[in-house]
Amino acid sequence: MNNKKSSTKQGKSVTKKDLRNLYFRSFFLQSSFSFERMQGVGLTWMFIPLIKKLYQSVEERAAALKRHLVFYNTNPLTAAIITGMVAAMEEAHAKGEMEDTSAINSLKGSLIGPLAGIGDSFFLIVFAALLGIAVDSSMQGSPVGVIILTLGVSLIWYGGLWVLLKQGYHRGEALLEQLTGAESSAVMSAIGIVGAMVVGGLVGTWINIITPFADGLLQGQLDQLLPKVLPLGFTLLAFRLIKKGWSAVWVMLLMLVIGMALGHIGLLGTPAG
Amino acid sequence: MALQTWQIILISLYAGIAAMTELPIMILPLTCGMPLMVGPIVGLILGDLATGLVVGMSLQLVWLGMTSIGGTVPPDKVVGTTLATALVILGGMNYEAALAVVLPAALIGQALGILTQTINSFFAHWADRYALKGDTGGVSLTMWIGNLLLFLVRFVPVYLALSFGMEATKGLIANIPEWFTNDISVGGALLPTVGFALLLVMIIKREGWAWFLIGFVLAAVLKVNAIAIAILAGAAAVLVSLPKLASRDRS
Repeated sequence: MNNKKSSTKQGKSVTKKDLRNLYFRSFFLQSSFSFERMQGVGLTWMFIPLIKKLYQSVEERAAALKRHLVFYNTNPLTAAIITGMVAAMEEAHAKGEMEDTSAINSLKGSLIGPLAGIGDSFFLIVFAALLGIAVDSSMQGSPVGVIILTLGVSLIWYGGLWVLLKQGYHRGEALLEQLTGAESSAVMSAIGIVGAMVVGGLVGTWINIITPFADGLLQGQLDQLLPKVLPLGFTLLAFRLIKKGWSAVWVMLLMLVIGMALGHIGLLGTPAG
Repeated sequence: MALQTWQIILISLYAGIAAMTELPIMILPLTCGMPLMVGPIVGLILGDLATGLVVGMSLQLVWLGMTSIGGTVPPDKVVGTTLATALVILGGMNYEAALAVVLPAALIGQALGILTQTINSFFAHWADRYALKGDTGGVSLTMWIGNLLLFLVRFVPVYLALSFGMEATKGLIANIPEWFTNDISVGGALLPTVGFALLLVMIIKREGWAWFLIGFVLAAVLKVNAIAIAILAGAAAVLVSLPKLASRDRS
């Protein structure tokens, strides 16, 4: 990162206020989302105040804007690490400590993939783990579960974003090492256990499909074998099809057709009807 | 019950804003754009929170794994949930049938979403031209136009559907024969399997299946409730992960 140690320019520093500004603008990362640039326009907009502060000439500003108006797409939460690191690099460039700006985009390019992977799966698993509680209460008509889920997700989103941004700015490289280290993979596998078990519980509770065949006699037999074996079976079928490369919409249409056909001839039904 | 104009406007506004919490502006709590929240909010506006909660959560289970990962556009859950909740509360449709009926609306919403993201690519080029001049205000402007488009693409369809579609749809629902409602309800009841399957594809690695089965048996056979399962899962996670960490520290 330090191509030139000696300071050639008296550039300004990134202050806590600038980081706070980047934090609030981080919520707009997916702005004007497009297939071509994805989060590129949003990222550029996030950095506009900092660009205006660090660079005074039109040429420098134009170069900085062009630099960021490229394809960019990662998880909006873990993106904060890159945001912090890029802020540090722009600062170094403005101060003349880093002549070559190509390092900025190569850093972005090399991190968006891995960080999207970590962020997306972390968020999804935490969400699945919290969802179990919310389903119960919503189905009974109480908003408590949705509120708890919202608080939990918000804590991670609003709090995590700030921590990652600040840490990314101050000690980006060390933070990246931590994220890919043993400690974090142990945490991920722990959350993974919770997620898998909770989803297992949801499949065992919230898919209401039975067979009314022979006035419920068959269902009675199935229940003695394994209760909720039909929901389990259909979930595994859907899983197989998606693994085989079917798109979700086609699997949904297939399930709809299966349900309607078998429902019509009285092989499948819902508990109430 | 007839829809009041203020209800239509509020619901359409919420649909536009809710869709923005996933793309493009994530300033509201992230759950605001999810069916589990869209349902109760629409329910609240229509004066039936409890039904909104049930419809929202049922749709949440169907939409579980369908997030816009990697820039793909999933079937539109906001438009889908908004219309489903309104149909159940106003039209007296049962919610399993609503799950199935709402799929076409969600697919139209998806098509509009894809169109918008394509159009936004042009705005990105517009931003390029401002960038060459170092014009930060111009770059901001293109961003806001793109965002406005992402808002309108949810607001307008919901507004039109509620204003002109509800009465006709209610008439249709009243005329649907009972056997058809029953059949489509069975289809609707199967849809959450797809949501769970998508989620499983994304979160389960090899040994995860063991934990999945433990959770399933606890719920289906032993009738353990969700909070108890979450507690057991937390305990299992600690027991399994702590030794792993300790052994790594020693080596």
